[in-house]
Amino acid sequence: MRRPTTIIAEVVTRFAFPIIFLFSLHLLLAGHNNPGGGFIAGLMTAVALVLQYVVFGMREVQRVTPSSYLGLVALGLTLALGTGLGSLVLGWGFLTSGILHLQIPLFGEVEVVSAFVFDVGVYFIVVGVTLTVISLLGRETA
Amino acid sequence: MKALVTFPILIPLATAIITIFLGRSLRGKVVVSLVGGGASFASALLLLRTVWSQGTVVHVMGSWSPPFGIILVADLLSSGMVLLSSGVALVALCYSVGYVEEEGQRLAYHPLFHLLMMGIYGAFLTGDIFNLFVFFEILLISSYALVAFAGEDYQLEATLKYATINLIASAVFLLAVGGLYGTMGSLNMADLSLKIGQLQDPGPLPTIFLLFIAVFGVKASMFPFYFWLPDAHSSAPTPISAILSGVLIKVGAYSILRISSVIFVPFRPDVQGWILALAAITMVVGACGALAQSDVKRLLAYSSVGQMGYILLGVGIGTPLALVSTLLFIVNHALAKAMLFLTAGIVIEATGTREMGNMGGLGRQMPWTAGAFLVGTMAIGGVPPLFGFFAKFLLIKSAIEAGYGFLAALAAVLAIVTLWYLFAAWQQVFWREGSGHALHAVPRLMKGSGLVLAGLILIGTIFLNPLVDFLSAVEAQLRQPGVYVTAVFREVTRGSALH
Repeated sequence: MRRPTTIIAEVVTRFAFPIIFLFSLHLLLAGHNNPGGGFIAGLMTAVALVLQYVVFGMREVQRVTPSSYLGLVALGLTLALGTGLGSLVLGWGFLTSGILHLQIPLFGEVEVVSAFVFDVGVYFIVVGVTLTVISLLGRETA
Repeated sequence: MKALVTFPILIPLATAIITIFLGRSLRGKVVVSLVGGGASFASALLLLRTVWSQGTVVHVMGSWSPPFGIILVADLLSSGMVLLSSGVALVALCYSVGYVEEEGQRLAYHPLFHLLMMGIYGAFLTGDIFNLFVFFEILLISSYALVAFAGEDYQLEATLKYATINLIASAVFLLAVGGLYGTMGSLNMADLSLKIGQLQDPGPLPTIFLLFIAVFGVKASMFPFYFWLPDAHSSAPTPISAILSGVLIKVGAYSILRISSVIFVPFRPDVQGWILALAAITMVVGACGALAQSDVKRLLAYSSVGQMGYILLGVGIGTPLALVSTLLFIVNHALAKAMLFLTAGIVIEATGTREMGNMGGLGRQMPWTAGAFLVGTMAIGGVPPLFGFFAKFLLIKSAIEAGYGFLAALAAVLAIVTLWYLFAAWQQVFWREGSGHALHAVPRLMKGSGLVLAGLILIGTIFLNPLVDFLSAVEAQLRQPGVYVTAVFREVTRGSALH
């Protein structure tokens, strides 16, 4: 098989991938009160996967991701819509965020907000759309 | 029930999500999609009933009170437009089930259709000008994909034009929103209405108003921004043409009506001349363009440009009579043009050609379709007793009363031209000696959908008086932006009492 890139790119990618991925998760979790959020975290994860795609090819990306990218989009939309509907059912305005302060050992006080679920939804949508795009562009055509 | 306002937006979104989840199951997708379309229509009906009996309904999103948070506002105009478009959408959806090939329906047709409708309903219901931008993007992005849906070369070319001009328009929209926010410090329509009402020095606001009109003019196919329309509307799959011509261009007209009656009220005289001049040119261009067409869908698309000229003319004149007749015109054009596209699609499906020269004599073979097309022709052409006649007649009358004799004469002459090219088309397709082609079978669902809209036009004609009464109430609300503003800020005080 033809090697798509150099050995340097491959080694760097193997190291960089987990770091980028972890950082994207950090952005997702930090998003509520600090810079970050579902959209940018999704883009960051997608960038990690794009790097994987450029260096190792589409097959490698498909190995680490779920098979249905559109399903990922639908899942994300469901989470986002669900957050809004939840508040609507409870008699609040659409998308009102509920806040819960929890005491967790070792971590101290942790703020849990329902907007986080919305952010996770956005994260899945962005990852799903980006994967759909690169899988269409990267499809091996005869 | 305040949450009712969100239903026309949430139901299409939920339907889109479920149809994505259903994967490649055709039957499941069709059932869910039709149920979703029906539920949207039902919620629109319920919303209009609530607004009619209880007045303007406001929903505060995320419990962030206006002017800081985003609100959804349903007054008579917006809920009426939602009802009109959801009705046309439901019919177009039934038509699609017979029209769009199975593979397309298994793929992305149904989710895209419902996202398009979500964007349209959202644009009607939002009370925040940046949120309006967001809903515009939702409806535009879905419509790009739908225009190019079958992936034919001519569709891609049309989409490229359509997307390019609208991307530029979106950039200008953002610029105008930025300018408005920089000047007034708010994007809530009701809040802007109050602030601009108390303003001493207008500053750059008249220019910003013109920018908005240009942006919405692109959607409403106003001259000189109309040239994407004939391509996009004629290349799209037929049910989508019906939505684009019947509903989507009215979103542009609605937005102009909304911002000029709520936000920029003091500056209306500054832009009136522009709107009137551009509306007049739009009418002429649309009529001339339609005269030159031999492709039936392109003819209908050019006719939409011309008819939008009339709608913009009414918006420009702006007297109560002009606005009532414009609203009547919008209802008429939405139903009739959607129906003409749907019936044209039936004819194209049956004959396998879009050239009117190759058709002919179809009246004997498909009498119901010929009849429906004739009703549409009469409605758009303004033939009494159909209510399209009253819309045009009242519009011309209002132009004379407001002192625009020239525009009234132009509108009258072009009404005759409209009648001419539409009847010529009908005659060419259905009447003259046939070429004796063997016709392909057309699904019954498609034929039925066209007839439903023809029936609605006839019902509208029979119940013209209640319809005009309703539209007068809509117009009365438009004339008093105070009603809109009070409704929004009543919600704020109620919200703060709650906390």
